[in-house]
Amino acid sequence: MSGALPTRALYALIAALLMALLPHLLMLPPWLALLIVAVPIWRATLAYRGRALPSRWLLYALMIILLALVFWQFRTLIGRTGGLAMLASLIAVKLLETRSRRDARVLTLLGYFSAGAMFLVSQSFWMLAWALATAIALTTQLTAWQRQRERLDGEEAWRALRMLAEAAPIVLLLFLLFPRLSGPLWSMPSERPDARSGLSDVMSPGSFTDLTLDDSIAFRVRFDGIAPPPSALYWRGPVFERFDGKNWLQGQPDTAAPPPLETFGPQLRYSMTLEPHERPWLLALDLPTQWPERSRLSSRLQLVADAPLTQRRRIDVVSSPGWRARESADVLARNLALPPAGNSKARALAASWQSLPPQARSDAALHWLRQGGFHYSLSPPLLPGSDPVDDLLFTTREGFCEHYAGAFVFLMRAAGVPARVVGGYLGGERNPSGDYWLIRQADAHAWAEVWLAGKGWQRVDPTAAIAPNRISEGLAQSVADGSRLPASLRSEAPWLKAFRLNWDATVYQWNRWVIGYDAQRQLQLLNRLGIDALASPAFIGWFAAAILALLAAYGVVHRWSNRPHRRDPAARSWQRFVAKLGRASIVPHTGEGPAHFARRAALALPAHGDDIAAIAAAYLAVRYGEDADKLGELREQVKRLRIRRHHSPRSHT
Amino acid sequence: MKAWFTRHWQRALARRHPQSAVITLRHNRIYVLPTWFGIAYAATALLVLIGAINYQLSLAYLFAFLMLGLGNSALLQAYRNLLKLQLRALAAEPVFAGEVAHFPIAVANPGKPPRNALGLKFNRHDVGWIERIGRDDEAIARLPLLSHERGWLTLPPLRLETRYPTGWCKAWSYAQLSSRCLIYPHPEENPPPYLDHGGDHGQRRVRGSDGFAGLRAYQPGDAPKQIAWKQFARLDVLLVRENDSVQGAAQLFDWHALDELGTEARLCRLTAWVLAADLAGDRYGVILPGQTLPLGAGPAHRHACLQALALFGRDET
Repeated sequence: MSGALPTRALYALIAALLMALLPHLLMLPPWLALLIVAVPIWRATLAYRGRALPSRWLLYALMIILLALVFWQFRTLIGRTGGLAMLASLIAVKLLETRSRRDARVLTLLGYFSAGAMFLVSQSFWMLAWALATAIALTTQLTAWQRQRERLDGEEAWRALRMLAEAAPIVLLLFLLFPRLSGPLWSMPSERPDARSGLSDVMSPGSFTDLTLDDSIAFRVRFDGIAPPPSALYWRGPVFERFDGKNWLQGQPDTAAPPPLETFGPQLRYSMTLEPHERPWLLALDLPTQWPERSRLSSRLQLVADAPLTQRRRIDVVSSPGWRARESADVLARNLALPPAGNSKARALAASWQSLPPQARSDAALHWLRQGGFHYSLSPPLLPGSDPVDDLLFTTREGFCEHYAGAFVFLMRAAGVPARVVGGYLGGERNPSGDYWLIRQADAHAWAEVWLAGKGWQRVDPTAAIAPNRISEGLAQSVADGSRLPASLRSEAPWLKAFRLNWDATVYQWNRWVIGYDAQRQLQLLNRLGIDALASPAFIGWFAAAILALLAAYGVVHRWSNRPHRRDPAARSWQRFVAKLGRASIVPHTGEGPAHFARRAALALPAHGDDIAAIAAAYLAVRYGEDADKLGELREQVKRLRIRRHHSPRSHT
Repeated sequence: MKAWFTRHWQRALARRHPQSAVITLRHNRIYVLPTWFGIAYAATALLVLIGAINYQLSLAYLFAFLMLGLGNSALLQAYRNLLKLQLRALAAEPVFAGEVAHFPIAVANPGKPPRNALGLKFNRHDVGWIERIGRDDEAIARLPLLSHERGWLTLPPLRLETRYPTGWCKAWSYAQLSSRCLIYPHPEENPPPYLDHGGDHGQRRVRGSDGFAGLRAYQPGDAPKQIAWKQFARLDVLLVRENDSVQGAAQLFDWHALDELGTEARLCRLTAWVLAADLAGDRYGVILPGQTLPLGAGPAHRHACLQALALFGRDET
């Protein structure tokens, strides 16, 4: 099976490889993607024109150039981005030196691998459909290489499709029962943290406004029982304790244990499906009392995972809305710290509240914000000066949640009340189709926490003082310039909204059952079958039974597809004729042909001699003379033949 | 050790695949194993699986299992590509020793989906290829085998192999079809003219074959050598030169008259003479120890003579 490459099979190979590479190419900068695609197209053109392939040195040069460009773009040749770009370049250049069927096989394997790696780009339903189409294309073109006359037609595609259908039971069985590990095999090199959008670990003016234009899903939540109202859904993210005069930062590494806590009141149970955001925080409601494995509650009372979330993750959490913490003096001192200078007007304003009790200082600040003619705006003026808090509070008076939360905490610290900024999300959209909540990046929010002796940390949302609608109604109702908002957040036609929510419900179920099928979910499924653990006798029993059932099903299908072919009508008539003679004890000998048998039968039954001869002649004419017209005659004659037993030759003599 | 193993293996195969005129490939005759390409494919699937485990990608798990499932399906397909095929050996045309004998093998597909890309092998050497057999159709492959000596050349055990559709798996079967090809002795090159030799059995002395006797009208089947091309150029009518020898030469070729030669050399010379006499249109016969083929002519007679020469001294019939 070697020799020159069949051209049409080569075209099919190139097409299938382009299908396998498409999702990866779309992740590359367009100029690089076009450069990589140009190589297979060049190869196809060479084949079409019957030209010779470029020299080896040109190939090496091209490979080095492509790899250099990939490295220049991504600063790496491994991992998700660099590695896949390198794979694409490798496939393209390998195609340029493909001369034999062996090369085609190597490329096909690379194609399958590349198709499998598509899910690093996305795990959406559409990506699965595309991967399946790619697998069919790769399998179809393989059949062309098995032929010598480069045939490739619809029949081959059907065959590949049929193979896919045949593979389905095994795929399903393995998917459900193959043991899932709960952690990675080895730790990945760290990926670029800005690969995906989401909350940042620095809160600078404008950092949340950017997110409001992003309507992608941050996470979805399903509550066990009744959900709190949206205005109570403060999803707690990064906590900013340090102010450097301009930005709010997380402060020192948060490795300490949480302070002693006391919770009271009803508990909220819910499960969250978090989209990957490349950060460790898990965005639970205040205050988590039970959290999943591989995560912990930090000293800032924030739920963080042991590693950044690089994949979609489903977690079950229990939170207690009523809680009280006992913080140490260290922590409180940290939450009073301000830069030594700057924002003197704000400091002076805060100093005027110093005589009030802490609770009253907070109320005074809120009152001042409410009365100060402040505006809630998605496009506030920039605050480039060295005193951004002063500029906001006394000059521009226009801002977004991060501006007001930051300014409020500044005022509180200046007034001697420990306070900190909490980032996260507020509210969400309830999807009635799936009975769950959708929280988008656009729901990102920032608020404040102040420490009141005797009461502990208290949540204060300064944005509520300025734009109460933002808290109760959501973003769309609280900004005047709604046209800047993404489509899904604008007020829209009810049918469109219903369609969008239904679609998201489908996606949610897909994520829950297919993409989120992990070790935990597998165990849940197995528990329903009465299996406690993998590798238990019960599991092995079920597994063996499933395999046996599968084999039996294959056997039945196989039996059915190989059922005896209907004999042709002439042979059936002949068989009937032989059976009739059999009743007169005349049976064909092994290896005896029809003519000979008929002659012998005619001799044994002289009374039917003519009929038998005629039947034999008709049968031979139909069967071997291809004389289909005689078929009716043959059938008729066999039907008419009545062997009279008492007329056997013996009784005559 | 290896020889012992080969012997036993061959014997086991022979038991499992008894010789027969028609062979149907049933399930117990078909063997399937992955090819190196198939093993590399499985390794690729495993690589995808490792990636799935590491990156915790549920759909990549699914794709890895899909690849394994496709591999299994390819195995079934390769197996089905052979299942129920019927092999039948057709009569092989005799050839002369040293020439390539062709064994026609009919492969029938009784009412099944089309079969594709079937290779036929003798002793691991590719000898035949069938691109496709349609539903209820038959394909005939002519398998070449170099003959070395006269006598019967039996069809060696045949291996029917397919890697269709994907090349990941190789399905094959052995077939021991009963068929043989008669190998005539190799005709001696440049033999002496037969008319002066072969003893004194000529019925009637004739003039040399170049003796010109006249012209007659061309009949289909006349050798181009005999056509009078000069006359054709002049008269535009095809005429054939008639030689004396064409009309009535008759010769019995006698084994015993060739004492000076060894057995095989004698057979080679007699073969050459039979061919020459047949070509010249003479009547001829062959006398062998214990066997005489009387004077005659025509293809059947030629075959009878050559067969007698081919099988001389062989106890096979």
